[in-house]
Amino acid sequence: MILEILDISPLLPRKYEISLIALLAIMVGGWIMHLMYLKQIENKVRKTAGSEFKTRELKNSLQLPQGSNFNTLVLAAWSLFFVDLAFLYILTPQISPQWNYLGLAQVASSDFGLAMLGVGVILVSGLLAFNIPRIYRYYLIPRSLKRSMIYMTPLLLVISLYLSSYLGTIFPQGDYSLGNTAYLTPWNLAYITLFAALILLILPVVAGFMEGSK
Amino acid sequence: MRPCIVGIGGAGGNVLMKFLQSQDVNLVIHSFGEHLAYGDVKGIWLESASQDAQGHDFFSGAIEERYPGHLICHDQIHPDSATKSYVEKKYGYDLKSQGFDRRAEYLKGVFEIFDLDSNLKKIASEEFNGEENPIPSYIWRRGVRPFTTLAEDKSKIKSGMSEAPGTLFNGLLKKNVGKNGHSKLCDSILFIASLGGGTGTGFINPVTAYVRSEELAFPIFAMGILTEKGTDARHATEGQRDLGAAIAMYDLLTKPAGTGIDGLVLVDNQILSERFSGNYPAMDGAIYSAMKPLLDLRNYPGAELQDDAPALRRVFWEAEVDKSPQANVNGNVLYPPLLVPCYYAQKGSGGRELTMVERAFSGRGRLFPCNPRKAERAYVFTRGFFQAQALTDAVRATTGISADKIKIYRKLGDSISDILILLRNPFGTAGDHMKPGTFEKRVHDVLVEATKYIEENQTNIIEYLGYSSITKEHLRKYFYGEQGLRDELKRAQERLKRGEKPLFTKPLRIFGDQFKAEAEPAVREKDTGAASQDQAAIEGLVRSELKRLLDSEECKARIKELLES
Repeated sequence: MILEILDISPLLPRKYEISLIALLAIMVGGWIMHLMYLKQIENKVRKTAGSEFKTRELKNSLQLPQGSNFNTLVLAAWSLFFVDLAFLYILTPQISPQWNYLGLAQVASSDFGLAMLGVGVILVSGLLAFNIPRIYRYYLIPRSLKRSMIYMTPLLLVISLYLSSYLGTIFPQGDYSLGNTAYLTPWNLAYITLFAALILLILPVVAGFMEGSK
Repeated sequence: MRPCIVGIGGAGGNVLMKFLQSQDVNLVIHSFGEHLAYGDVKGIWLESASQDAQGHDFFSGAIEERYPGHLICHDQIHPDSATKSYVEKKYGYDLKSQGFDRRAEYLKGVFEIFDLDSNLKKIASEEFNGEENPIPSYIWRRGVRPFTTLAEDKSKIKSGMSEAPGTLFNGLLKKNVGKNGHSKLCDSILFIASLGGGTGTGFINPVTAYVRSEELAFPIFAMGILTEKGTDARHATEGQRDLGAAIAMYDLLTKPAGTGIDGLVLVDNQILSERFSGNYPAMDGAIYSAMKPLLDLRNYPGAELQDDAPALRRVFWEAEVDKSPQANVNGNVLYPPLLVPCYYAQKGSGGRELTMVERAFSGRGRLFPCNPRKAERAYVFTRGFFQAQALTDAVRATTGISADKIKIYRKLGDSISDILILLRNPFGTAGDHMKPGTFEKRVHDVLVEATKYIEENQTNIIEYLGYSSITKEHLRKYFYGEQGLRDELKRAQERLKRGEKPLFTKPLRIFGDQFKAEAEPAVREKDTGAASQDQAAIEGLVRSELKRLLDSEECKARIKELLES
């Protein structure tokens, strides 16, 4: 039953591209919502302030401390998210043959190959991973949402990471033909958990934007 | 405003717990940084009953080692202390009494003798490394000061005071500098205590007096929670608690500017108890929610310093410009204002200003019975997106307060809009002491109950186990003497009936100036001798100077001219 639900083979053969675009679209959408949220706030403040101010002053006024635990874990979560993304899309030749990790034979055959890939990805995506969490300081995030983000996101990302690693490490064993459900299920699960983690991570932005739109 | 919130006693601790609840996520096994409370406030729980503090879930450790933590007020006093022994022998007070037995006069007396008895000061000074008043000194130095901006100025630490030790405070100053270089330490103190007569009631004034000896202008505010009617869980009767409340309010509201607190925020637990069916956590939560607009740090751009504590302190004392007879002025002496909070919150980031103000002033919005139309001033704190002028107009329309006496402090909103209005002295209608739901009636009832308790419980009040004859004598004068507390409370009732302000007009002490004179005869004689010697020397100087002037040629010529004319 579950396998049937998770089987998205009808979307093949462009499934991977579409799924990647969906993730990137959500990230870009989150960023746009963040900008729109700031604009909404600015408009409201300009209507009521009764005096001139610079947008930078407003941004300074809006900032709130979110707590060291939250900041630390959300930074870790974003870093892990990019590692997951990389593992999910460049770990097996079927998905992205031209950017594949297994193309780097020396790294791939090393005991610490996966770890090196992970660190490499963090270094490459570091700028994003370190800067994205800064946007949370503009939002009044309820503690319940903070808890959900912090407890759920790492769990989802670890599941995704485990499944991607599994697929990468068993290669070339197993049947990787595109229509094979046994192969698709772990990948789909990894994708779904990654997708869910991303949604959780941008939820404060979405909630702020929705609230601001009222 | 970023206060260090000092919760005192059981009720103070429970409310403080709401203010200090973490805004961060709890990782259970490890924390990556400092505890973060709403508005980045800091806090400490002061308790005198160590059995209540031990095993407390939230304030489980001593403040020096764990945050949030507690401080046992009299921990500094060793059971074999010479100071303790002197006080016990001469006055019959136990400096290590657990909970201080819900008698506001007990702690009042304890701290007065430290002010007045020179022998006691000497003994304490020898025992506590130059410190004459060890309990408030301990509370201030170990518990509160390290969280305030005063901690940055080491030159003001009194002689004999060492810096607070302990792992928590190590490097506290370094950690508390924000990226813009502004201090993240507290710019003020907010005491929160129930006015039931126990620890909470007794410690605000002595600690404040101690802070004032170091820094006259440091902003200190207090929130007094009037306990609900009836007998409480610890079997303290309403009369006994009302006497505690009367003494506490009396003492807090009769300290001239620069000697006591800068404002007393009053909350009535009776109102909250009816609203939340006696659910204490919900009642404490309501008090916390109501104060959020005051503590929120997200000011409108360009108004970052509008509500810093020194600015608030200044506007709270702005009374001298009041020309009305109702102004809180007693002769040339200014007494701290009494502030009644009115609060309303709604979902969403906006709302009509007039609706918000009206709902805050409605019966459900008031945290203490009051008449907004009798308020001298209004301090309005909002979270959301509101126009300052519209808020001023709304408050003026609903209260009649002139625009120049309405101060608006706007914070940026988000998912919630709320408004807190602090009304300054919102009472003063003749005859309202009979009208339910009014400030006059609530306070009048408290004063009547307190007076009744004084009259009916003389033995219980005076002949308390352990009091010495000196203490009994002074307590008798304080409670039952001419111009004593009983008389003053009756006068206050009369003023309420006539709709007059302020509530109380003169400070009262158990061990008054007369006691000081009795306690220090040697010093007095010495002083008198010195004074008479000084007088003789001055007379001699004046005489010789006059002689020199009269003998001068110029003076002689002038006198001659005058005589001829």
